[in-house]
Amino acid sequence: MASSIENNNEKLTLKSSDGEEFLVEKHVALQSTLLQNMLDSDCSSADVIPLPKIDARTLALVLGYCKKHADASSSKQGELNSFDSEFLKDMDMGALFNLVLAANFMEIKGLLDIAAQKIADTIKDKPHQEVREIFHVENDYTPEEEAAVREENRWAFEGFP
Amino acid sequence: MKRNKRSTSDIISYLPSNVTENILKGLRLRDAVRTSVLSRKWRYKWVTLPELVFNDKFFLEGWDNGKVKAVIYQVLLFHRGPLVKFNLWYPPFESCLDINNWIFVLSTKNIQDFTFYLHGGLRHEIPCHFYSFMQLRDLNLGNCVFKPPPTFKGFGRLVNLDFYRVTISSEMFGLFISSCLQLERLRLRGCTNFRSLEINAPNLKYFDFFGIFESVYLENTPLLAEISVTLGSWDKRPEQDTDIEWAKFFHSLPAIEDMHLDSSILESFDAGNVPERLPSTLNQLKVLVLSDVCYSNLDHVSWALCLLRSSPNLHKLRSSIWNNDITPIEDNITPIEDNVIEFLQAQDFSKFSLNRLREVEIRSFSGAEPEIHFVKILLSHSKVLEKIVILHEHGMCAEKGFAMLKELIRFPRASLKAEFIVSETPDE
Repeated sequence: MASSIENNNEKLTLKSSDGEEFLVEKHVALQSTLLQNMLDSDCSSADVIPLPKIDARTLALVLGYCKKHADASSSKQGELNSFDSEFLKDMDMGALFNLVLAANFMEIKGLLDIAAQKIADTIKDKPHQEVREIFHVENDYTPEEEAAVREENRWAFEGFP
Repeated sequence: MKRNKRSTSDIISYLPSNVTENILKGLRLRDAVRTSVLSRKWRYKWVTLPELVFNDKFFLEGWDNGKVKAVIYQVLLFHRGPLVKFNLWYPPFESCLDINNWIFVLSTKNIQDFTFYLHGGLRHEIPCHFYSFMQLRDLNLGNCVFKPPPTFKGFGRLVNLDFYRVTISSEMFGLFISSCLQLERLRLRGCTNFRSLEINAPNLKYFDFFGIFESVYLENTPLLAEISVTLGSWDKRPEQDTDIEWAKFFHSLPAIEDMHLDSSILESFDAGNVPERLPSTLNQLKVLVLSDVCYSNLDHVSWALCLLRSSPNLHKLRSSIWNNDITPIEDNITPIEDNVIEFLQAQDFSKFSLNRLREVEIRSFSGAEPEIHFVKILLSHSKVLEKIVILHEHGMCAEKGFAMLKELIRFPRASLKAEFIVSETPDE
């Protein structure tokens, strides 16, 4: 279906890592600096642009974000802010990482910022043992090394176990 | 299956470095530093943080000044690579030489955004090596002395400048501003008493001034869209004789869209007759705020009318009233009020139209005769008015309020759809 209107200048086709194609309006795609640079460098919009690192589920989310931000006028900042906070609500950590990586790859600064902040919010105020569990970080320090690191930055650990 | 496996593996340790930086940037410095203990991979991730913010969340209660300084030294010692933003926000200590040492360390880091506010006490003299921060885009200083060396050529990339209680000579300031060609936003609050404040800033869009000057010259500000000027200090109303040539002042605002003038500046416009309208119309002006206006003062009211006549595209008018009972001049009140009413009644309003005015808000309304008269004029000439908000002064008795309301709603309104809201002035 996407290919039938491929020649439409106002739209371009993106292909996810799992082979799904997305037809995107040009002004929505311009939210991504990566796509903007590709279009500026005369990359034909008739081509299908493959995004080999982004799966369909993530790409759909990314494009939803881009559409909202492309369509909203600058005067509706308040509305966009509440959209942003709803957008990531209840998202599981796996999906959030896929999203932050996609935003980074496609160079969508606003989305990268809010997704990174969401991850930061999960870390903050938590003891590091809990952070390790949440993010499956394996502690490869020996007890002596760990004590040395804590000593190195002792001020930051005051009040934490 | 594959996704399941991914979500249980350690993704966060293997993110691209700029994503990690973005995450660490979203943490308080303390939390960012504590990630060092997660695993070997994390030990030094925080040291390339693009932003260092030492603010009230950083300064823990129970830390003495020695401890706070030691920690700042340590963080700067560990930090590697460029730093976009450095922020030292009201540390618990006063001016000291350590600050200069830190600024020296920062001088190799290509800082773009520098914020440094000190509490009272001695104003801190910014050291000479600071004037080599050529990447600065954003500079916010509080309680400092800004005295660049003679060789200083300005910050060529500076976009935003905010000085709060900063000592700088009038001459130096004029030169400094004219050398920052990219400057778009300028805010000066409680700084030096400027003898002559000269602003030559071809890209300036926003200018906010609270303080004292004897004269002001906006020499080259073709893009200035938003201005706010209040003369005074925190302790008292200005005593200096300020004399501003109003014709020049308004002439230098060809692009102004949003103008906030305090009555203190209206009073400083060179004495003599207030013009009926300005020589050059403020065609772009959408929002006019006149604060601390005394509607029984003939000069204030004349300026208010003059500005309204000169702003054909005004959308929104806000005015706060300077109440007489704060500075009672009992003997004079009645005759002055009479003057104003006579003046208003003698005005020719046949060419007076507020064709675009949609919103009016008047704060601290006392219900005095000249105020009521002024509102009457607004109501009868604003054809597209959508909303008028009258916020009466605190503690107005119900009886007086009701009498005032009865009088106000009786007036003919040029716009039938105008919503009328009367309420008490909220606390600032």
